[in-house]
This record gives sequence, C-alpha cells and structure tokens, in this order.
Amino acid sequence: MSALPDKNVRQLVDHLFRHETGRMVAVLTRFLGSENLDTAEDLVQDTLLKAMEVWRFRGVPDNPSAWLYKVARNKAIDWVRSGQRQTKLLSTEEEKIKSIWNLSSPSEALFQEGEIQDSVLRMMFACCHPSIPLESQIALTLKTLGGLSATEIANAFLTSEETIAKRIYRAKEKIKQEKIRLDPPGIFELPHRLDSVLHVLYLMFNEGYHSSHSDTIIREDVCAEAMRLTFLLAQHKATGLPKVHALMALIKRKIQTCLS
Amino acid sequence: MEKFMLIFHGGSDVAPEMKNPEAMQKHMQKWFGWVEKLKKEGRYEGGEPLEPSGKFVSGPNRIVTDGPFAESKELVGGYFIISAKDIDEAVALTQDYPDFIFNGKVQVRPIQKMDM
Repeated sequence: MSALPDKNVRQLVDHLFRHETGRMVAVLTRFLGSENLDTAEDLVQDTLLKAMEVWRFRGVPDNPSAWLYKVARNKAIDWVRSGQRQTKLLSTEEEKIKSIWNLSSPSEALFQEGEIQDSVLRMMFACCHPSIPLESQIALTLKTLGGLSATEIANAFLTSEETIAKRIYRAKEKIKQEKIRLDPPGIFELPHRLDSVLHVLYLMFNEGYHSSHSDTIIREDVCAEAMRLTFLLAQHKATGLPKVHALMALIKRKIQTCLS
Repeated sequence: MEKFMLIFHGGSDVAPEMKNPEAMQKHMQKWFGWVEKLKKEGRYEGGEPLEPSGKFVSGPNRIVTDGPFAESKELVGGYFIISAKDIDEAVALTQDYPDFIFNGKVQVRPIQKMDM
C-alpha cells in the first residue's frame, strides 16, 4: 500500500484536460485518419477517464501531459491492432499506421512537442476547410481543438446544445464525404486556406468578446482559445505570415483596451 | 485508532456529466481536496485504484474465470484505508466523498484486529 506522496497532491495546471484534449485529438486523428475523428475523440475521452480513475488515488504524475499522451498512444495502438474497430482503415493508411506503430518506439518522435503542434495546425486547417459551412467550422474547431463541450459552446453562442451538436455532426460528415485529410495545405493553396482559418479565429474571438455575457467564464475561454490558436499559427514558419500577426495584434489590442 | 477500508462503488466514471474535459478535471480536483483533508487530519493511510475487471480463481479445481462483470454502477473503482476512532467517525469522514452526486456509494468496513 503506497501512501500518496505529498508533492503529488497538488493543483493541476488550469484547464490542462481541456487543452490537452484538443492536442491529443489532433495527434490521434493524424494517425488514424480524419475519417476516424470520432474514434480519436473517444480514445481521448477514455484517456481522461483513466487519468481520473488513477490520479485521484495516486496523485498527479510528475509530468501529467506526458502521462496522458502515453496512455492515448497505447489506446490508439490497441484500437489499430484490435479487429473490433468499426470503420475499416483504408488499406494504405493501415499499412502506414502499422509501420509507424511497429517501430520499436512507436511514434515517439511524433508525440514530441513540435510534431504535436504540427498536428494541431493540420487539424485547424481541416476544421476550417472551405467546404464545411462557416458556423460548423467554428463549432468543430472549438470542440476538437478547444476541448469545449457542446453545452459550453451552446452557452457561448446563446443557442441550444442540439444546434451545436448538429453543426458538429455536419462538419464531421463533410470531413468524411470530402475526404478532408490532415495534410498540410500546399504552397498554392495555403493563402486561401489560411484566410478561412483566420476568418474562423476572428469570429471565434469576436463571439467571446462582443457579448452581453462577457463576464462568464466560457466566453473568456472562447477568447483565450482563439488567441491561443492564432498564436500557434503565428509561431509556425509556414503560417507565420503578416496577416496572422495582424490578427494577433488586433486581438491583443482589443484585450488591452478592454483591460484598461 | 482503528483502521477502516473505504470501498468505492460506481460514481464519476459512469456519469454522463463526465463527458466534458473541464468538468472531469474539476471533479478530480475535488478528490485531491478530500485526500488532502484526510491527510492533514492524519486519517489517510493509503489507497489504490482498481482495474474494472480481472480474474476469479475458485474451488478445489482452481477454476479461472473472467470477472467480475458487475454493473458499472456497482463496480469497485478503488479503495482507501483510513484510520478513525470508531465506525461513526469513519462514516463521518466519507462526507466529502466527491462521487455522491453521481450516485456513487462508499462501503465502510472496519479492518479486523489480531488482538481480539
């Protein structure tokens, strides 16, 4: 019987689960293919449940994020290996995934910080794909990358949970139908695709900022989420373009005027 | 001081409210708070989470079967060992068990002593 070491009973970083949810979904979706986005989300959900079950008895591990990624990765490996999966992976994908997982230290590199961010960016471009209706783009981005629940998004947008669930559902269907992959956009495609991503981020920020309910936590979170994702775009060498920095500056300025 | 085993049945891992990462984290925080309180009061001896199922070995023939396949609301998720003056105090210490709101149950069992 091991007593909980004192240092382990401590507060977790604020919103750790929420933030890591988006990142883990992005990483797993990149491996499993975008048609398995739902599975990726389920596996991440299972991972958080597992953390809850174990951490409440054992305390928080030294590196909580690393712990989560390890569990999520193992769950994804199990899913790929088990014949029980609902959707058959495309044979080529399957080979690719198998070869990735079968490496002695499967995908270790792909779970490194840089690659995780890369997956998040790819996911962002997929969520904001022009063939998905704009409203759905925002909902899907907040759900998959922001780790917000349909209820939270509904609260922020002053609409019903059902409406948001439908928007998310439609967005996911589009991703399947149009076979939207988590590939980075090509050099010619990038400017156009980046515009729709920025559009979504701007609307997201506005939604949180201009509102009669701006004092609620969810609204603040929507703003913070928009800012975080914009920052991520600004940092990356391929997407750190002037217009991204312009949006970042706009957001910062608005927040400053709000605080002053 | 006597020792007691708190056995946790059901609770947060089956609640639909737990679909939301933020809610999950907040709920876990409550567990940390409870453990911390028990430790401060010198009551917490230890505890472990249990996997949802394992094996049964039974009878003279040592038959091995899978299980238990309890309904999830009955499932034992883990246990604590705590110390308390008597059973009443042990029961009182469960007041802050965070899973009551999800219809979780705590079984409070005195651990038998040798010197009886």
